Amino acid sequence: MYSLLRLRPSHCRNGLRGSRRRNFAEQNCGCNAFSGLPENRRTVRGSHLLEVRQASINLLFLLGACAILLFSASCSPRHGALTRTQFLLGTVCSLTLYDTVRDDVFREAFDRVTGIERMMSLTIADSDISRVNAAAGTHPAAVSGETLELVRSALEFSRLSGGAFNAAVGPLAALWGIGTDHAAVPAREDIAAALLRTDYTKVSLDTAAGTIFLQEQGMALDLGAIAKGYAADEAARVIREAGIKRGIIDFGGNILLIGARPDGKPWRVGVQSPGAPRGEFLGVLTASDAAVVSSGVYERFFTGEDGQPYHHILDTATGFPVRNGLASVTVVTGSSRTADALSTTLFALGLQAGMKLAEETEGVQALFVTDDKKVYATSGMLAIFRLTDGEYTMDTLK
Amino acid sequence: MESRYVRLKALDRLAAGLSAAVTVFFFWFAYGGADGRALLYIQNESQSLVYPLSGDLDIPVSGPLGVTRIVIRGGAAAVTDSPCRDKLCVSMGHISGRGGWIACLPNRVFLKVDQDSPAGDADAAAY
Repeated sequence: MYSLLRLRPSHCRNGLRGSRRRNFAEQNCGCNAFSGLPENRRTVRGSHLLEVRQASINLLFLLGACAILLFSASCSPRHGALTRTQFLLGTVCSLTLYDTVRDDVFREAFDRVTGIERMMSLTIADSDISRVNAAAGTHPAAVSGETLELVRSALEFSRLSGGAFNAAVGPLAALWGIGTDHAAVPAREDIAAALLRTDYTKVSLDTAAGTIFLQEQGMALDLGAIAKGYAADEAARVIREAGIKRGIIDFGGNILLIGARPDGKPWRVGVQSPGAPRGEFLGVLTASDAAVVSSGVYERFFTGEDGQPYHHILDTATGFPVRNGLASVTVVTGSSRTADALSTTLFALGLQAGMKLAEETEGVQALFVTDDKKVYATSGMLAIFRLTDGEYTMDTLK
Repeated sequence: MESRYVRLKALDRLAAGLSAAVTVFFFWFAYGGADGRALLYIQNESQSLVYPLSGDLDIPVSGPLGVTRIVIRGGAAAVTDSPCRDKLCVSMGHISGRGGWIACLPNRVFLKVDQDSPAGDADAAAY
């Protein structure tokens, strides 16, 4: 402190400007320029200098604190994220990645998804699935190991759900054409004929030969309820292998969360409110390293000539879109492939059976929303979901 | 007896005022302000466009089938016309909340609303 008192005050170093400062200097300064002032004025001058110094230190401290605040803010989820979007898998696919991200990572992840689309797509003539369907009833078709594995997984879900999820729904889905330019309510006899060709037990896999065979002509696989989830899992794998620890994969509303938010908290995922404009949420759930997938009546549908809406989740018992009082089902689990398939499965099973399956399946949380605006959650979902839409109420199964 | 209270001088007040102003600015910069605006991101096969949702705009966007017409009115965006057959994009209505999106897949046009999240908003949206 003593040394501070010995420094020259700033008004002496900088020169005197302005009459007020000059007056102050003339009254209080004891430096050489005003050496005629009494010695006992040095204490007053030193005290003033100390205050100036202290104020400067305070100012620097506070500016430093603000800089730290700014740095912290720069780490918030809104900053430092890069998003890339492509049209793939018949929808809009977005990758939002945090940390330091090379463009190569986006390209590699999208290339991986493109590769999956080339194998699994129904609209690409030489995809594995198209070739399997074209060879139905005549001969087995050679496919990649990946396609074989995903079809095996889809058949497991088909068995698990007793056909509520049906990997062989292709003929019925093609007949309805929901999501295409030719969507229409088919004739009942056409539906009946299509249903005869949706028996998933007549899909034969030969792992050793690497082939899939559909035993009856006219059968067709449709992996639309699982391939998008699988592609998200694979994109996440590519991203994680590149060292990215946080991000959001959004494939047409199928969400896969990588890590947690940059502030360490779980991601917040809004669940679409059925019937409301897209982006209006029923509620928000929090999760990290998890897939969040919804299936509902509101996403892909058309309005028939009878004025009724017809959605895309088809019941292979009736041949018509599932009508069981559910408006949507949202599944949270570790794998996007599982979440994708289970959301369709649980929806098709209905509230009671779907809730039972969800509660019995380890690591799966589910949210059921009914047409009469009631929301039912598995026990695990209750801990992570918060209802925000006042038109809906939480309820429990009796 | 010396007073226990520090008497603030002009520079102290200046330092405190300046620090408060800088702090408020940083909070505004980090958690609100310009970043809190709702923005409409439009993407087609060749370009990405960004518009504030606060204005009134008519935006024609070209795609392989023709022109998709997008409007921004009253803080919301919608597709009013597109050269696709089933017009699902038009039937989606208006979007205004963060994460809301509309896609015209046949014409390869994608709209998405994004904004920095005020408290209570979400990082992603599951449909």
